[in-house]
Amino acid sequence: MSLSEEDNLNEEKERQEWRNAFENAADTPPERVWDAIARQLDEQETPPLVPLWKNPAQPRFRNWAYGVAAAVALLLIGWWGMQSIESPSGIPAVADRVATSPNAVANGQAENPQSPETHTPPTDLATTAERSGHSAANQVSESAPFRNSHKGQTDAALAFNSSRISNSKQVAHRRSEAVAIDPARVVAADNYPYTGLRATPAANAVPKGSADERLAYEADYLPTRAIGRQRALAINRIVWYRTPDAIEPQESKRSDRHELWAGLSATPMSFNPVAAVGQRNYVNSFVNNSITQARTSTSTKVVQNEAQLSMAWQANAGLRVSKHWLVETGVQYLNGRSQAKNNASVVSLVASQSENALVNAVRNSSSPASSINPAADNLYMSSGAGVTSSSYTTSIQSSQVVSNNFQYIQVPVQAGYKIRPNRKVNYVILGGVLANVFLQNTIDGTLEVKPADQVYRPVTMAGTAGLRLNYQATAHWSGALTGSFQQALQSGTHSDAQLTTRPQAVGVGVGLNYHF
Amino acid sequence: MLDERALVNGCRQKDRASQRKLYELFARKLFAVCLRYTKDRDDAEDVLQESFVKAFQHIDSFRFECPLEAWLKRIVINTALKHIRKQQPWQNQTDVEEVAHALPQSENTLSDLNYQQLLKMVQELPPGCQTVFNLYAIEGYTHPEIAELLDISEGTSKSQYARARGLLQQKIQNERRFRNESV
Repeated sequence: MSLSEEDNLNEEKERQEWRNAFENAADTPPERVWDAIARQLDEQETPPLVPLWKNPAQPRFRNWAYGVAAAVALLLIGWWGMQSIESPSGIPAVADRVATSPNAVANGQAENPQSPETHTPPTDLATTAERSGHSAANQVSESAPFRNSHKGQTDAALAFNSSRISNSKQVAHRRSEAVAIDPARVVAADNYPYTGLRATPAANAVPKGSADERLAYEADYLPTRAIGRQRALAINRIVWYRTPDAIEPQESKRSDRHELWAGLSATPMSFNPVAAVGQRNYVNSFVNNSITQARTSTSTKVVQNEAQLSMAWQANAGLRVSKHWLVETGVQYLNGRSQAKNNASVVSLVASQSENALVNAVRNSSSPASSINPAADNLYMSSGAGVTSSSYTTSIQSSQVVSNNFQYIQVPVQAGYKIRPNRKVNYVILGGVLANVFLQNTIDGTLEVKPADQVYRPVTMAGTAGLRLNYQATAHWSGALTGSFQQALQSGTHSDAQLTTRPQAVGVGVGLNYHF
Repeated sequence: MLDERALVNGCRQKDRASQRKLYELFARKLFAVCLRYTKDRDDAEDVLQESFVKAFQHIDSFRFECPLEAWLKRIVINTALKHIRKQQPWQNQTDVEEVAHALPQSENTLSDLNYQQLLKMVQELPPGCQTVFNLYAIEGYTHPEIAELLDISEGTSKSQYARARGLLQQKIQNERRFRNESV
């Protein structure tokens, strides 16, 4: 017998001894072990009690009713939540139209991705068609069993969706704009490390040059009903996308559109014509008058203007040219009211009649053929006619108030820079020019000065600036509160007139805009 | 056998009295098994409790193809192994060749040692050694089976057993030396 065999025998003998020692071994466990076992069994065998209903005598169906009500409430909350997440603004279009592509695939386009129906139009539909082609390829390769088994079930849905296909031109256009996902993220999704999870092959199949289309295509699969049906069977594709970030770029893409709007606004204004009687003519007229010379020489402003409440009504239209920049124009009717306070009157030495200096200046500035020209009644001599009025008129100290009621048609052209674009509340800094088309000025309610009188320029230019507060109430309607300031860039009167005006206006208006 | 069948049927009906009878019938033996695989009575009680709960829960799967005691013992051993596995005793394992030469050539018998002494020696073994020794020497598993049960290599199983064997022989010699000195 070898040494190893002897060792084996000894080992076997030793094991047998140990086996014998413990074979019939017994040790009494404490009673608490059974108590614990019984307690644990009781807990497991007794159904869990939810103390929602204290009275066990209540009918069982009532519990079911409560359960069903709770489930319905949860479903409604979930549905509402999904709706609010999926379609915050403008996105419903995506969610709605997307259902067309996969269903179209199941409707038979899948078998022929190159169908002329989908590829012939060289319009925006081409994008949709191309996308449908990719959808078809995917559906055929990955979801054919599903498609076949559900073909009958989806007929009704297809009938519904076919009506939407007629809108697919708009859909396709919006799709590329409304959905934007970081391309790098999508590419990264292809390399996602998890096994069993893979990015859609369609992302690779789409040409590299059409990243927007490809991404829009990816997003097509997110909220579709087809996906919902597929989940019931099995997960055969997982699309990675950026849920929260996708919304922000969508809006920015949307903002890049040339958004057009039109609106109406009413602006209470403070209008000041900044009228002044021409110093040269007027002062010369009484420069030899010893009584008033001293006062006149010290008075550098003969006419004091007081602005009064005025109103401007505007119809405007605007075009958003970029995310922040916009241009707008319109037509505005301005009724500018003011008062001119004179500290002197002009007295006709011939007729011994006095007249307000401003009115006198207007009259003297008008053309000889004008109905307001004093030459008609020879009361006053017009310096503009070449006769020195100083020989026949003089000025006396007098305080008179003359009202002016200017009427303009204004055509502003403004550029604006929008702050906080795409927010409900945003601001626009405006600046530009406007053309003031003079209609008439009614002085003291009786003297109407019109462009034909050649006192006021028919068209003058003014600069304008403003700040607008927009509130985008809905996708189509917004309200605006605009503070504006206008300053004439040139005199409002002819160069040979005895008075000058440089109107200023400042106001705060409210407006209502419709966005197309 | 008939009593066992009646007990099992009663347990299938979740009859608490039948369960209690079955427990009383096998608890003492199974508790001894638990003690061999654990370090103290508290752990053994936990293993026993968990084992019986499992047995009562899965009593329907018992087809009387083996003795009820063997079926229960398998449950206890599996539960004990699960309990031990949480402690990860399979670290710092020594290769079998390292300890083979250290094994004393023993001609000792266990006849002069009682159950409590032997149980204490087994419980004092390192965890890995204790488990492998129980499975190999007492339960009769082979090293390949132990390797599969414990998810270790066969060599590790052998080394653990060799180490356990050497440690136990040392303990036996120490026990006898202490007894002789005390006498």
